[in-house]
Amino acid sequence: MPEVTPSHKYKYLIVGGGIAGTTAAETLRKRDPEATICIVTDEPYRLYSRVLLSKPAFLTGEQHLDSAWMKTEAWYRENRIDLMVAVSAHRLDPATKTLGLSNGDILGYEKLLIAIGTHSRQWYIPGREKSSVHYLRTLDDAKGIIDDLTGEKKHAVMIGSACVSYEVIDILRSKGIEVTEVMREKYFWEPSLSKEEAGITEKRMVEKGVTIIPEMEVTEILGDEQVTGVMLKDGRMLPCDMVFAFIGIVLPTEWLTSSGMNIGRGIATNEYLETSILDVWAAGDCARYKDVVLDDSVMMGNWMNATKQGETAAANMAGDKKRFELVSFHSSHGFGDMISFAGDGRARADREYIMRGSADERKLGRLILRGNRIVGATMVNRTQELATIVKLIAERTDVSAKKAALADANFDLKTLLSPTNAIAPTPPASSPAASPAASPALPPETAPTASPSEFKKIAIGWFSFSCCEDSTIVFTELMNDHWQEWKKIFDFRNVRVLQSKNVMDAFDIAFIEGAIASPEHVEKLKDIRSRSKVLVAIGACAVTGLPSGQRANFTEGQKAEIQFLVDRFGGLPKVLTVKEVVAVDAEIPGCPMDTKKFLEAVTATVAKLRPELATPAPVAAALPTPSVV
Amino acid sequence: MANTQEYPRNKEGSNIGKIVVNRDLCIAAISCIAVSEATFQLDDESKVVVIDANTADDETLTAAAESCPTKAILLFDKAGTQVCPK
Repeated sequence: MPEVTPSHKYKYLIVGGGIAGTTAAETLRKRDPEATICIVTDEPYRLYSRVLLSKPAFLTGEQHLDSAWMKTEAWYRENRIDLMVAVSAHRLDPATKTLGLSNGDILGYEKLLIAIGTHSRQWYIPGREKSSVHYLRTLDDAKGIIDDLTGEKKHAVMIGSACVSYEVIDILRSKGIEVTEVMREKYFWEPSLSKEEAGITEKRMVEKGVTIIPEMEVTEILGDEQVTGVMLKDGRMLPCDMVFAFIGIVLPTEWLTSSGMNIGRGIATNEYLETSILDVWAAGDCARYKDVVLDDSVMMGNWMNATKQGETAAANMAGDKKRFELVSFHSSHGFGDMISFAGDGRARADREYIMRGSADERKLGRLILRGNRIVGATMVNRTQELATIVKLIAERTDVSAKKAALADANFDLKTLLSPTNAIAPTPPASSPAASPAASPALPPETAPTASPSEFKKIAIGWFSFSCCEDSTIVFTELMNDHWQEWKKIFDFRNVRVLQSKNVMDAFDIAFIEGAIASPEHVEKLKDIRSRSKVLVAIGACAVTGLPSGQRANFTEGQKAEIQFLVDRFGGLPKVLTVKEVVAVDAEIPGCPMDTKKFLEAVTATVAKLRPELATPAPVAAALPTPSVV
Repeated sequence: MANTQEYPRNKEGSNIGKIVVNRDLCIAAISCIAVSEATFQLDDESKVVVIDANTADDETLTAAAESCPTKAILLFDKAGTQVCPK
């Protein structure tokens, strides 16, 4: 093997300067004030807003180009994040943990994040090099369009029939430019929307003067230097002076081939956004990740998903073990209509579609079901239901008995939501096997001596970190009303008051009170997480880190004054919340904890872990109403 | 013309006197909510609304407004001058 000498070694190296990569850098800097961090981007720019590029005020030039910047140059300096622009990654060598760059440099890394997004699919047809042939993915692409729109353009041909095409067609029409849409598909939006939904927007586009030619292809772009027309497959010639080639995206991953990384249609990751190579993560549009909500491998190309993945990947690079969990959604506006997409909208053989609303009223959507649950949705002008549907997807709500109601646009979807939607039932990978599905129901009150082997109680741990332990006091108070029920179903294995009788094995539910203030706390909390199916953060200290975390806001002078105390108690540079250290399934805020929310979370968790206890048996009926089944 | 919603702010010691959300621009990327959950939330139309204009400090509010990818959140000082986006 040839000797590889990196010119520089970074603790955290990030390929890609978009929102996923930059959010990751920002998160890492907050977590690790001393670490060396570098972002390598193939674009000549710092972070800008990619979603702004296809918005009317920006693309017409009405809004200044500078409005696209999301970070100042000074931000990178102040946060000591090295930004290498206009350089692409060339080769990844996992054995030496080095990254070769297009400028010949070789960088070493301890932890690497790949957040390279996607590129525009290039159009390989004769005449593609002529001016006024546009793509739209980068700021430079947008600049080209903005410049071109200042000329007296009269007729544009649009190829492509999804969000960006839709938004740009609206912008072109608002400038009085004739638009002919030429697409391979049978209808605009195919296959992302149903024909019925798409019909609503197509009809409006035609009313607004757009000519649509379906099931057609352009074979050649005509003109000298400047576009003067396009040739269609059927021999027709369309005169035009602009062409928009929005023909899809490609994943720029050739440079990763030699690394042996597992790459399919996207860079494969698990639920922690780890790739198949040790110490390498992926985030954003390029990641084909294990989605714990959908229980499927998916790619999501939207801003929300990219931001959140950047955050989660960074937390895991800094030593956490956080599952990525998000139901993302996005919307597209055009011609006064709003088209929305939530969750997994892919067409699959095992999907069932339930339509809601009517095309006549121009409000139509569809719920996409897999088995007994909703996994995705699309909608035209039904945005008011979007938030609820996102929650139903996240809650994995069983809707098998409600299909008729789902098809009734007057049925309020909110009634299907559970009172608390804070519980994530998927156990962490390291948790012990779930209790047997066939475990018998709770013994009735009349048979208290039933053999313990027939009924396994729910194992509970209650742990306190930096706090005044007032939630423990409130919990003890709650025993006044609940002890009789709880002692039958709960096995309190580790609670401080048990002292030498405490057991540290596996827990069904771990309750965590207090902020995480020292490395010892971090270790202990991670250990508890690895032993627990469900972990619930209790009280303000655990949920917000405050007031212990207040010292993060001190002035430098104040920090210097208290440093001897931080040193004496071996404190972390910054006090952390529980969810900054481990995955949290539910949070109960309040100082002390909010008892109502606590009881709701307990009920919901019991129902998730042991549905048989949530049935209206004599004892279970004494518990608050079960909220999740 | 734009579909905007204004939220007066009278937090003591703050230089910011008003938060304005342009609902036409909001695409529910929820970056602002990630920065200040106490200030921003999504309504039923998945547009951002201000639930408490006085809870966050100026620095947090500015960070939230700056995080918006469509620049849908505007901040004005007490004299009515736009201070964000600059």
